[in-house]
Amino acid sequence: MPAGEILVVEGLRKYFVKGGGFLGGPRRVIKAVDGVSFTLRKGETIGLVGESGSGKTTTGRLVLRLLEPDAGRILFEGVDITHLPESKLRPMRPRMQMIYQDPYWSLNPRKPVGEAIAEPLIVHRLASRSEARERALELLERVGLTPPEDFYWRIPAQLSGGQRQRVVIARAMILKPELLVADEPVSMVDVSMRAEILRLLKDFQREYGLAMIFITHDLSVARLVADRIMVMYLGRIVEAGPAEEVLRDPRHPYTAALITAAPSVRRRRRRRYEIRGEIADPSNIPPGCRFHPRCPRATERCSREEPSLADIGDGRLVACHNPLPPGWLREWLKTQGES
Amino acid sequence: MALLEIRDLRVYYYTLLGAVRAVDGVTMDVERGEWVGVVGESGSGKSTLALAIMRLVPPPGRIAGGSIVFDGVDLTRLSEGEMRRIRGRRIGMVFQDPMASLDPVRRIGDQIGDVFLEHGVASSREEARRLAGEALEMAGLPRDWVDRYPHQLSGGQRQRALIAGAVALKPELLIADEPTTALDVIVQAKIMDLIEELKRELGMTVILITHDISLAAERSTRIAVMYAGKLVEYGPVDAVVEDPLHPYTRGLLESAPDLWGEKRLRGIPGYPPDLRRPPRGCRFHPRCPVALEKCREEEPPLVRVGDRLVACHRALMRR
Repeated sequence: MPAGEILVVEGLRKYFVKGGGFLGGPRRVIKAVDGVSFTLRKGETIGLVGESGSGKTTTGRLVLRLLEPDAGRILFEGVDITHLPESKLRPMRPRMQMIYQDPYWSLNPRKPVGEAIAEPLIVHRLASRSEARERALELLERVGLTPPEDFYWRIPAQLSGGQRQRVVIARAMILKPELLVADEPVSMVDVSMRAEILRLLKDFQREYGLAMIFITHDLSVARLVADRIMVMYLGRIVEAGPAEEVLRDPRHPYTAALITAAPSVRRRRRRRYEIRGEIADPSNIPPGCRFHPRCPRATERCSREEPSLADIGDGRLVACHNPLPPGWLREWLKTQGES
Repeated sequence: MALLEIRDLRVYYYTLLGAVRAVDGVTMDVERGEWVGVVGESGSGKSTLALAIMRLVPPPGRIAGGSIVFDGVDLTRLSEGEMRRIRGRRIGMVFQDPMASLDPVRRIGDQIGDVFLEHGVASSREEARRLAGEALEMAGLPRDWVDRYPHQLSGGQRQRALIAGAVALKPELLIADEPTTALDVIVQAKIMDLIEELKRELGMTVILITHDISLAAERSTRIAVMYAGKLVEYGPVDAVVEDPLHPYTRGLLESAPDLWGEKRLRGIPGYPPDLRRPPRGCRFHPRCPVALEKCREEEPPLVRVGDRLVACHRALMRR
């Protein structure tokens, strides 16, 4: 494995079976993640972008082994953790952390937040109770919940959404992890407080050399934090590459549709690159390219043959039989009277 | 006369720890044919404002004062029976979570059909279902989906079904409270298209309540910005987003990530106030980067500046 790669994921797959049992309704296989491969370098942030049902959250949970993969391989720091038993995994857990969308459900409602922050150190036997408390106070200060002695004993209900998300970040960061999966960490935080949460994550990242998978449905948030963007659709990566290039020069029609549909104060009342319908049910994935029923560029081949994620140079990957030509977005904006 | 004239509206939630002044002296007009975007963060009072117009403020909340004049009639003075004749018929409403607004075990057509029976437009279930089919079609869904259950629809389709119900009786005013928050951007844009199309076809007026100033800016004629129970700025969309007068509006715009904007994000320091004990003076002053001495003491009145209304001592100095 080349130096600097903290995570290598190959052919990751996870299916969920719903129903089929007694009173369970018809049996359905939900193909949540269906062949995902990527690598993440130390200190790098990947923005994993997709709509609900795209498999982005499942991917995040799989790489941290919070879910058991059905197929594929996960290498963390060169160690194959795909099927590592929990006993062997446990010493590695402090090095990989996850932050969830809803800070309220990530915290025990009756536990003082300072204790919640200190807990991982105690659970992993990395510090004594009093050392853990000291560290928790430091972290509270660090995430801007001051005076820390005051915040330490508050319970989650006494904090605002933004403050709770700071607690969740402090709790994840007290272990100085090397890999963080942040699942929509600002989508439930008030708009005016999002910048501060993102800045906190960035600061910790610089300090710890943290590698991050930042999961979001919002391309404009991904743009602010991600070095690279990976766009997921129905369990597969359809486009990946350096963030700014993907956003300025998308090659997959789905990415182009997402970009031009994003609400923008600057592009208000402007046209969108239209695609049909809505994302399919992941238990009923279309044959061929999963995106073809919605795609304006689909050909007969797209309904038969699934495109693989192909390298098109400059670190860019696209899974499309008929990708948009280079510079397409700029040209398209021109035809819409925008420059 | 404006279609909707709200005057000094106050809506308080009476909790054991004191009255939460969720909406506290809001005055605004909405003209016929407008699309007004009401923007604010949690605790701004934007959703309570919408509920108050529908007279659906849940206990322990209640309209504590002021008036809401809709087409010449003060809604705050109507009996529940009189209000029921307006709700759904002259004012329609769609909420954020389509799943929570739909009964999972009743067919879509029966649920939409209710509105026709309630208002005596249909005299039988059969007729109500037929009209529900027409409403679905108007919202871009097949007519025969009246027989489907909510779980058979995607998130976007459910929101379409709810919109079908809300506009079935061709209301003059549609209030949409975060109708697309749970949806992805592509479906969101299509739902907004639908609302815009229905607005044009039915000659409706639209009030869109949202936390997302970019979404509000897309189609609104005017934007109203709320903070801590107050209307702080109200004006034509271009003026408000290109030259915000209120520091909170400016902060909100700088806080909104934008694919086509600067690649850095600013926030607003601090936290919104406790509405049981709002700060003296201007409610935004503890977070305001340009607060004056006066802002701590004296509440700024909502003043007309050109074609805009703004409540800010600093903005008034600029004039």
